[in-house]
Amino acid sequence: MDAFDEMRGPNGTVAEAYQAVAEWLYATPSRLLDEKRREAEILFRRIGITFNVYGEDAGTERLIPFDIIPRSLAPWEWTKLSRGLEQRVRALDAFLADIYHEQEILKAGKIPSHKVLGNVLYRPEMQGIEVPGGVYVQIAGIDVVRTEPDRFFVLEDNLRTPSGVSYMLEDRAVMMRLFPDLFAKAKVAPIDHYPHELLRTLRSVCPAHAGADPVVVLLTPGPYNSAYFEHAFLAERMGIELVEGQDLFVQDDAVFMRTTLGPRRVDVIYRRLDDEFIDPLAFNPDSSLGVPGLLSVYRKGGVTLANAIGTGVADDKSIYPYVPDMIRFYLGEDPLLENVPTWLLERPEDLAYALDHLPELVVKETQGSGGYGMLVGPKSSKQEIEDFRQKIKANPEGYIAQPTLALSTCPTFTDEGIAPRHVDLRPFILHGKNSISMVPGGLTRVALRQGSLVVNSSQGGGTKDTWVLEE
Amino acid sequence: MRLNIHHETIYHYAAPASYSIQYLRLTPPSVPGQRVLSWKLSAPATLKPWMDTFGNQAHVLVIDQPHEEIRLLATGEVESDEGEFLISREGEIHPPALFLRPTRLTEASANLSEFASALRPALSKGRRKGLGDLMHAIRDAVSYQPGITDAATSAFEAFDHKAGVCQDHAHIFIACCKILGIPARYVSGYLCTAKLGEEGMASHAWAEAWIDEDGAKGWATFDVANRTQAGEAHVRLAHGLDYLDACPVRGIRKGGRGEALDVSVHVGESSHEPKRPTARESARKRASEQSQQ
Repeated sequence: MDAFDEMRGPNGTVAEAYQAVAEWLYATPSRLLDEKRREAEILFRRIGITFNVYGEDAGTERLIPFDIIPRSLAPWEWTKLSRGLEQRVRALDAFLADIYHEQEILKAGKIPSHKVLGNVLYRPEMQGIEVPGGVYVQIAGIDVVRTEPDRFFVLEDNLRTPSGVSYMLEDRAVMMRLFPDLFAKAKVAPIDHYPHELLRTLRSVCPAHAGADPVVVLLTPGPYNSAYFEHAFLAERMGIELVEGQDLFVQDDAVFMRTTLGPRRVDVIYRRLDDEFIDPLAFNPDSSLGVPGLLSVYRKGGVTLANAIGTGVADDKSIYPYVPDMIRFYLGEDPLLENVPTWLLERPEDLAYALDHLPELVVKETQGSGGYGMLVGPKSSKQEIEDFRQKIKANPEGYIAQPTLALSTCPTFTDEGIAPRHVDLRPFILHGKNSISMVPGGLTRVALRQGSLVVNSSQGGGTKDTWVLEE
Repeated sequence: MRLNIHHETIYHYAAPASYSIQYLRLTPPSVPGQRVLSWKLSAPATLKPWMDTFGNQAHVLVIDQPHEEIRLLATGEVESDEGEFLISREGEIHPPALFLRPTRLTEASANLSEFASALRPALSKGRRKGLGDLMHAIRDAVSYQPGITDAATSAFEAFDHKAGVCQDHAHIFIACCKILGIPARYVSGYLCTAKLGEEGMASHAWAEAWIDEDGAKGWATFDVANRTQAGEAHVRLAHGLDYLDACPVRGIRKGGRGEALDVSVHVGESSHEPKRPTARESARKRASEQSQQ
């Protein structure tokens, strides 16, 4: 498959956004670049930026490979993209507010009721309550891929506890340290204010009682979680407490944090813990990670959870195909970003088509994430395809299928020298009480294996610094 | 019929607990079929009221001092009648279709699916009759036998045991309804055993299924354990998708090894003579009437 290379472009000339990168690659001796790559690895090890890989031995920590060749977007490309992302987040939040109140979109027949009401990620506990600031998704990570110079697709919405922003920030910090001259030549939009923006967003949606100086904490499942590094990193950068469930307790319709100076009331919880575990008295009774009683406080408006409980129903892959309809229904606008055409395998005709075309399709679990449980038809062996066919047949409603997109490539260091590798982009969108903001760019993930289309770090993907050039 | 209810729950701990928190659903609502005349819920610390998503009146109890015991007492008087066959869903925020959601305690198994599917012919002749048949079929297949199952037993596990208590009967009924595409839900409450007599229970659970046929819509009750619809012997406390949503006490604690639980429930028919108010009650009533003027 011929993929569009973002630096070389379709006609072989260096794209404008890559002028500085191309000149730098051309002018820098390869020996020096090799040295810098090693230096980057040492820096990342020293920072301690590692992640745990599920499915390997517990506690296996790995360094996410970092590629020193940046990915670069022109200002107009970002402007277009960011408008589309903002539109999408507004529509997704409106969808959540609607299904947890009037359910007009279901009554209008735009989405079959059972897809929402029967979805395990829909939380009846949220029905009819007012969330502080009226915001459900304070932090969204929306995965975008590119197939042509002017064509971006949304691959999936991550509206629960999207991760990766710490890599975005560290990639930039390391690049600036290794190549200060490069940043003197290229006008790259800064991103280091992200923690500040995140805190501003979280504070803006505090409950009414909290006043001008709300107490914000970050709730982590703990050191065994794959994104624990990021939790600690963000808490430190925002200057807020990093807490586990056992550090918080409920009393008198409020949530308190244990401190050496006694209990302190908490107003906003940036939680990186899934719904299922957040209150054992309301959800999974076996969870020891959450805060017992939290739901009762939340339902009475005594604390803000970011993101709200029950946002997963909007990023579920079986709901994804309806997002363009949501944009039209709630905003009366045409979608600015494209959705990838999707076959819902619960539909018999879609299932039949998919089973006939497995070698050319990508098949995903509707509730999966992290690149687990998916089939990339063109990259799979006959046996893998047959095994997957049986899984689909056993539970068709658990899967969706999409065409295999020719993801764009960016020049990347490999064992065979600089070569094109497929990339995606996860921008982080912050949704506060009266604003939607994002720092320019996002996290670029790159599939390091030749030809691979799976960019997830759990599947051997790496990351790149992502530039948005300033006008 | 007027029912007097006295429901005491005592948790004892061999070693003191340092913190306990409980969600209590121990306050009956006034709804068609029952009117709460008086109700008092007492606990060893302040109770904070909250409304859960199903509209149940819940309370949060927090005890943050070391304690070796938690004593909960719910007492009151409820007037009940036979009620209508169908209970309207007026005032409910969830559409009936919500009650098709799968939950761990009401999930299906191959055995249960086969069992439920045998009822399809009966259901095709009418949902009311078909669901009645389902109730009897479950009760025939699953005997009432305490001690075999516990609060975490799922519908299909109890079905495979062929034995259980009212909670299991309700879960199996709900699971079968979902298999058959009929919304169904769990109700917890009390039963005046003197009235029905069959089983020795006063804390009770039954199921409701959604019926929409012949122009009539509403929730129909099925007390599977007693092969009856809920009537004047039944007092409703709370409902939800399953036991976990509706159970009278759901709690967690820090410390407090060696929990022992004492529950005593007495539901009896009040004497038909209206109770004479005490002098203090009369004085208070007069005072409040005066203050409103």
